[in-house]
Amino acid sequence: MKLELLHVSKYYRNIKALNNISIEFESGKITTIFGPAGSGKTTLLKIIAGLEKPDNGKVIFGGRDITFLPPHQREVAFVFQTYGLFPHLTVYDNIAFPLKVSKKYSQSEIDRRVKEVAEMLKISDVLQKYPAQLSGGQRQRVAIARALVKDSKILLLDEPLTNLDYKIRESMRGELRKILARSSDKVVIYTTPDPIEALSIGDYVGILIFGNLLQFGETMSIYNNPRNITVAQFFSYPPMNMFSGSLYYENGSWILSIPEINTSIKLSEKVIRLDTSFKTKSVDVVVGIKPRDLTLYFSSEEYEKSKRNGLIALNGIVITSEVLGSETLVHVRINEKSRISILIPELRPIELEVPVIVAFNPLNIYIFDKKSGDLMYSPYQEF
Amino acid sequence: MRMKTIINIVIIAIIALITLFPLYWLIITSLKSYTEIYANPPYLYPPNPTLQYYIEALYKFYGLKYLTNSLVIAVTNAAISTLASLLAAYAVSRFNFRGKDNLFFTFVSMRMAPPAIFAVAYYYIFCRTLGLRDNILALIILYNVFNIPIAIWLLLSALEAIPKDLDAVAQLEGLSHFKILFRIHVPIIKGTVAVSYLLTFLNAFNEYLFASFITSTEARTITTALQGMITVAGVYWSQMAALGVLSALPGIIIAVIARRYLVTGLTMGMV
Repeated sequence: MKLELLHVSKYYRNIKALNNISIEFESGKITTIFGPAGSGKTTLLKIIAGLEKPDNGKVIFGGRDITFLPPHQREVAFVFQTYGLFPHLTVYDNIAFPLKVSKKYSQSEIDRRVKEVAEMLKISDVLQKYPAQLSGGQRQRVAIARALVKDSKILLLDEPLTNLDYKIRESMRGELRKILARSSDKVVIYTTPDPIEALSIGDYVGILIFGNLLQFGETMSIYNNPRNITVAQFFSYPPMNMFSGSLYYENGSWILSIPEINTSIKLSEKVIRLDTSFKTKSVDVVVGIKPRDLTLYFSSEEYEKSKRNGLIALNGIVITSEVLGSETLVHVRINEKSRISILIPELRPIELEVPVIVAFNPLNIYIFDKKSGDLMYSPYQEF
Repeated sequence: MRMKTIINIVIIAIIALITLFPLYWLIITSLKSYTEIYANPPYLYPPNPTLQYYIEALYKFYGLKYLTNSLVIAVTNAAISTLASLLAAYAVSRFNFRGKDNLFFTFVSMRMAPPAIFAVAYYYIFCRTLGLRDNILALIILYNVFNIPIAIWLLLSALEAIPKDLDAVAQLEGLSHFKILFRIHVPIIKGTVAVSYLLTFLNAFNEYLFASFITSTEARTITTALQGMITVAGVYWSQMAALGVLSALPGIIIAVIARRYLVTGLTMGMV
């Protein structure tokens, strides 16, 4: 079964919540819709569920136009960001709610299903409690259980992990991936503002930024080849370092000059293949370097010892560092104007205001056309 | 610390004395005879307590009938205004329609003018046009005018506090608006619904002004009946006090039973 949105637009008064969205979802695949807050993710899900009507465009499911079909005839299950649990019902009754309302199931069938799904989500011991007595993580599990208990063909999850603590979010991520994998006959759509979540959960990702669908495709391929600067900025974590520069062609080599970090790089035409139209003149570009692709050395001896050839080294001074889960993000000042952030795959205390060497492989960079914002080169590019 | 406790107790005792003394005086008056009432110095307790005046008030002065009238009016009107307000509050909180923003002000502004200025109009509408003079139906309808705004005010803020996502969850399963209101919302805000019922009940039960000119004998309510005990032949103090005690009972009972709900429900109404 295929779910399609065709040229869907939605306005709230004069604000464009969704701008001409066309997208195709396949059953058996998990698609994440990634975008910062206020990008229209929830609106998109509500249109699919039938809770909102699009101002333009169509929703097609299994070849049938369902744009104006009422929600309960669409066989959708929805997990809300705020959980949407009924405070006056026990966990058991909350989960059983869709089954009881539909009147299609016998009491014993309801009981069997509720217990089965509660088992799967490890909430069997809280079935008789009320939502107010549960922790945030447990409430989220109940909300997911209620969505999974009924027979649906479309499963929509609206930022299910956003309201949870960091620790629980991390552990739920892996578990949720496994649980969702069981819904192999369903179209699963999952929204998130967290690039890591999109990377770890979705087979496909749609990048929805302020109402516009900027890119759609396989998750890793988009992560490695963001179509333009905006996608690269939002869909990278920690955010990509970006520097303005210029690029010109000279005697079989590309000369990439990045004055912001006092660097000029010569790249062989054989290694970096760019569109020949750029050869005629100098092009203003934006160079992106992922914090993960940078290495930090605390002394020149350490850098020399690493014996890695062809690296570009920059001198800088540590400004701050922050802990990201089990990694450390270090911010380094290169000169008056420019800073760069480096991700170290370990937790370690970092001394501030000490000189360091930041090194990167010149092939591990992204080059964007400054004017159009489009990607010109990525380390993963396939031509 | 102990000093503080003592001061607190003294202050509470003084406040209790001030508020409860009139009630106490009413109760002992209902148990005293004329001579005891006019005795000087006054008795601070009934020397020969008797329930005789209660019996007289209920039967000789038709107190039972008036009490029944008041109860019927209050029970029915509170039910109608709470139900109507529930539907109205749901519409205001869940639907978009023209004039929605001013609607609430319209309701509240009805409560701003002194009710007496409408007296002539209401007399004309209910007694002349509808022919409901001295009919409890007139009061059951009329009291909605001031009870519905209060109930909407209470219920609207309670409904607004219910996340819209709960409606969406119910909508996904095909519940109609009526079912969403009565199966999901009402159970969640049952405390506020109860408060709304009790407040409108008390308003209707205690109302005096409109009852005094729309009813005369058959539909007379207990509040207006008290007035009728001041006659040319004299004032029947004991019987009046007995009826007064009986008319104060519903309020007292409600306040005791629903104290917890009243406090949370009323604070919910405040924005």
